[in-house]
Amino acid sequence: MSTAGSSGADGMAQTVLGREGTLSVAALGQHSGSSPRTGRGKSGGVLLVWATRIVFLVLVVGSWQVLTMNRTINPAFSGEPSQIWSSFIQLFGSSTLASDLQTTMYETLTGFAISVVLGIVVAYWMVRIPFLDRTFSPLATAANAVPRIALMPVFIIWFGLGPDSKIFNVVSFVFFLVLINSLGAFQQAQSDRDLLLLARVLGFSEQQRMRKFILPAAVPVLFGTMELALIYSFTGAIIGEMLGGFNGLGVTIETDANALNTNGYFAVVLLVVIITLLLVQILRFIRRRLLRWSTLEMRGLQTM
Amino acid sequence: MKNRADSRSEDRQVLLAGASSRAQGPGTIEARDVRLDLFTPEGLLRVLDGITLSVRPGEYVGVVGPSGSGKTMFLNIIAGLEQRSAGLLTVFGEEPRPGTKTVGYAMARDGLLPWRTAAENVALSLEVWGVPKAERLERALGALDRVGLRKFADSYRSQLSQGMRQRVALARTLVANPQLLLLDEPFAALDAHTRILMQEMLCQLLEPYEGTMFLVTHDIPEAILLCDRVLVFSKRPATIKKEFEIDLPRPRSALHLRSTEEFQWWQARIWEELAGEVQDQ
Repeated sequence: MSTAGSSGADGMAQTVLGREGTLSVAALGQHSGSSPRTGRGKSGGVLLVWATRIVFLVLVVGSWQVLTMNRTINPAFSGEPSQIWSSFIQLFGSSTLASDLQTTMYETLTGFAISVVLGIVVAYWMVRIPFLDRTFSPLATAANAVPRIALMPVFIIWFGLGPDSKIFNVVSFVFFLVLINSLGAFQQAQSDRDLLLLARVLGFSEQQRMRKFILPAAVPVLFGTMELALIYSFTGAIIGEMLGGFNGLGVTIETDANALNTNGYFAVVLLVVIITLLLVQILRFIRRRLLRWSTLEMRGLQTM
Repeated sequence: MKNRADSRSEDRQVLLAGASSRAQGPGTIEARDVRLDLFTPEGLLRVLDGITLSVRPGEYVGVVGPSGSGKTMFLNIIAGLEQRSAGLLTVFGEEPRPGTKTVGYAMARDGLLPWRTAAENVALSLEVWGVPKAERLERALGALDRVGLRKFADSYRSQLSQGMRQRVALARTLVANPQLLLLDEPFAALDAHTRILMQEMLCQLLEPYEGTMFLVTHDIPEAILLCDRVLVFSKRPATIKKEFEIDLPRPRSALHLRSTEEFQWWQARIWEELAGEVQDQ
């Protein structure tokens, strides 16, 4: 903290005393001087983190493998890592994978998109019009408390065994999650008194204040929410398919489980995990590109 | 002593005469018997008790007073952010309202938007007024140049020191070329060293400035350094207890002025007035 203060003061001294333009060189030097130092410290840490992570995974999977090989646990119930892996490879040769994957992805991404857009828009208007917030906030909380899995049979009755009932299931899960998180994000941005004063000083209209202050401030939280929403969308689609559907990864999981094909069952689960991680990484990549400022703020917090 | 002050304000009048005829007209700020009462859980609280004041065009006026005496409230009334309970108050002959191009307001804290670069923060007010993008950028860079931060135009808040952030905030206030500057303890959030350097910078910036400035501060040296006239507010309910015409010659420089006997004499006189108000609290 104190070094940051004094570096600022040095920069100032340059500005005031030598007004010709040499001013920022000193200050810049000090700024860029401090960040590689923290960067180097971080990369050393990253190596250790990865090593520990891999050792941990090897230990878990290795003991699973050993315990099933010497029949301490029954591989019919637990599956066997090496067999799961070969089932996983075989999965890509199966004739149904493409259509299963397509169905599940369609349900997941459609449900996700509807939920995110609807959730953020509704939250925006609830913050903009306090009457709506006061009226509907408790109802949203109540609706979110409904056990949605129990409603899935009703959704199937309404929308049939095709993808529509799964999309509806996903939206019933994820919409409220997005709504409640976005509301929190907007309300927090709303409560920044400095920015409130600034908006009044500059004579912003309500709409300008929302667009220039509240929305951008909420974007980092919205990205975090989308990450959660994506994971829950997958879960919602697969649960829907397991409860009744023509095809999809959930149907395959259900079939394998009923046939006690444990290795095949785990192979599909592994596939779902990998796809979810990939999508989450894409989301994080977009976030990093769009929100350079947020990354910088976080780094600032770490150095302090 | 008195003569020097007069000649300086005459210089200023000459400067202003070319720009407008306001110099001969009424004051930039005219306050007559301004009162402010606030409703609190404990009952009606009188914050301002009859403030009468006239600020001439081109004059730099500072207010010092005990904490909670309503200095900032008075500034906010001038800015149109707060409604007075009674009395008359005009700014440029009109009822004050916020968000006008003629009045610039600098807050105690920088209030920079972390998702905008320095230049984008400075251009914020221009955006609201619908200034075209190219002109916005040009004017923002110009304002950053005036506070010595042109090279940091693309930096985000987290990449700037506290002093730099405050300078960007100042550039944001200056970018619209306001004819009246309202400063609410502009450097209160800074450490002592940075604050002195910032005061020096503002002092240099104000030297060619033809507009009017109204400053609220806790810092007596800051008020003496920057202002032509310093008002001492009493404790709540606030009245103007005393006025001082600061006839120190210009151009002024904080670094040199602070060590002079005259400066310390002013400081002692103002503190004498203020001390009574602060001690009773």
